Amino acid sequence: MPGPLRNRAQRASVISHEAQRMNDFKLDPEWLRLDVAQLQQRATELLGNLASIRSVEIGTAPKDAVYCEDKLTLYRYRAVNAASPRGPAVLICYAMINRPYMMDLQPDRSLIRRLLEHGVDVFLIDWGTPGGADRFLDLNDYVNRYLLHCVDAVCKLRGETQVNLVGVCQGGALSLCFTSLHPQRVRNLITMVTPVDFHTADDMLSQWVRQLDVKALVAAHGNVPGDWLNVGFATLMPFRLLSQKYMTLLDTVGDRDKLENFLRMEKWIFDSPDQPGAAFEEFVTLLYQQNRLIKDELQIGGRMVKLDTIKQPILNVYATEDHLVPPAASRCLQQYVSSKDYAELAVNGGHIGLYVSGKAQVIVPDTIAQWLRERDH
Amino acid sequence: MPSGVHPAASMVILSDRNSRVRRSYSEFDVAQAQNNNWIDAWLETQQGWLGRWQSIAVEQRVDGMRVAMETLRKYLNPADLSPEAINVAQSFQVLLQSCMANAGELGLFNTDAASGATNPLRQMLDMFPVGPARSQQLVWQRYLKAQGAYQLQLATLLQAYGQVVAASLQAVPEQVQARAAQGQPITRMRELYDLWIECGEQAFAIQARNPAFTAMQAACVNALSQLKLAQQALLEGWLQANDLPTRSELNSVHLRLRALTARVAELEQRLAEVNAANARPAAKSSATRKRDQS
Repeated sequence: MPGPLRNRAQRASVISHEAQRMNDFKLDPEWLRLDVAQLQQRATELLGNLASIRSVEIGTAPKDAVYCEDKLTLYRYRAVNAASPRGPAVLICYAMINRPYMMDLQPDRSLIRRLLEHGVDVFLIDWGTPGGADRFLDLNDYVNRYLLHCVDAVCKLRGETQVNLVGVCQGGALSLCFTSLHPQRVRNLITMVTPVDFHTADDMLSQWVRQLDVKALVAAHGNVPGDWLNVGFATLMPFRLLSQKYMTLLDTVGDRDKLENFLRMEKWIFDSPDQPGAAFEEFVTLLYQQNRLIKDELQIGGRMVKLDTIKQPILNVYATEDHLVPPAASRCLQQYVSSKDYAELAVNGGHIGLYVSGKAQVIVPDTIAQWLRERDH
Repeated sequence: MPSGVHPAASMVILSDRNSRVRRSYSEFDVAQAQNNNWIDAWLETQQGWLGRWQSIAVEQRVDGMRVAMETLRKYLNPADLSPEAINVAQSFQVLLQSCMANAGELGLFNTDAASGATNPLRQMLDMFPVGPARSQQLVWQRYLKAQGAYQLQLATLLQAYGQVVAASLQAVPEQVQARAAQGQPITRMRELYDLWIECGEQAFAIQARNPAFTAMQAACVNALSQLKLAQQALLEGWLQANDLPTRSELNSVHLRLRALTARVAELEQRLAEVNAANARPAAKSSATRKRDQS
């Protein structure tokens, strides 16, 4: 910062320069007045609209709970055409962070509905809401117990011995671990925005947690609060996510559908369950901080996870502008697995855009359905 | 002014050494005299005890102790407060005043060893606890230190965020100028706002990738964790004192349940294996019988 301007000539020069810069704002006073008036009018109308919307429905595709264990529920979505035989099945292993109904946000933005239209038999794991008694659940519980039991349940219902496993984000990492530890149970593997290398240069989230005392954090909170994670994710892009996003609400005035779409996203993004302390500590310490997954140093339930034991066909879906799981963190999967049938699908957009953007709604489920049809036999 | 006495010292009953105040009841109003009665009574009681110890010291010929007892009796004589006693009281008051004055300063919990070493409140928090309440003192010391450390980290982090906002505001006029030069001047408030957002994210991206910021952020979160742990320790103490369930107790129950559940699952697994093994010979012998019959 420059020091104080003592000289009158200096002050005049700065004022003149600033005045010049201000002239570069071609803000017409009349337009300014109209802008402010419009802002006030829209804000008032928006408040009225928000008050009139009591709730929004999310995850409306019909489904049935087919297996429960502790807080977990395994859902099977009802076929679009009950008379038609079920096609290939997928077991979706979602992340523990956020709710899985993101994949069925609304009827016209539902990856699950699109898969159902293709005849895919969709199963989804809802991990539930951990409570205080769940604080000691660790990765072994999630991979070798819950996920394994869900696979058993799907196989029993389908009369099969293997599943097509779809892992989403953190669920993708868990799915990779599961496939490595239980290779005989997985026929095909689909990973979506899945972090594999947690130490890529552009992974800001990873850099932020590198020096975190996770042990103390978990000891202090027990289960790590979902709200705490929400704040953390929002601060990755604070101006956009904490300010601009709400300014765009003004653009929804006069369009109730647009407003409800926004509110569905808003509901989902802040509907974060607490993270079981032990599992969180292991995930952050072993994967984010020590990057053990790609080093073949990750042990779960006393057994070593080795990515090179994965030989199943893999479809790796990633988002080109993902700021949470950068493409490089995901695409490197190919060099660590032994699969001879490895394919990638790049989707333009961000981490969440993969599920809610208009184009992704078509590209992703269509590709998955086609890819499975060629391999599910 | 007596040596060692802070100029700001302002005890009501004291003045400088040259006009030493001799405490006598006629110099105080009745209320203060009444208040002083119990102090004097206590001092006389202590004199009595010291007298007894002094006698023992004389009998046992522990001269050093005898001298110490004599000195103490002289200092604590309510009829004649010695200058030394007055100095002690003044010093203690000064210590208290310094602690209160420094309590609001961020520098209180500086990691700078020099400032930390001279800061009286810091010294008190680092003091080795003694006495029956030492464990409680430890818990409180930990909590107060954690509180101060967290506030310091938070203030530092907020300062960093403030720098980002300042940088974003500084960048806006430059961007406006650039847009004007490109023939795309800003004409609407919304455009200006969106431009500020863009500038803000760019400024933040620079800050967010700065290792110092990353360390600062982690330090703030870690300090908050330590504060919560210190708070929990206080709460646990109070709950235990009132025979109420604590988190530690619940956790031990959860862990035992977890171990039991795992053991049950293991036994069920073994039982299933045993049953499966038993079923195989039975099925085999049944198949053999049927074959023989046919």
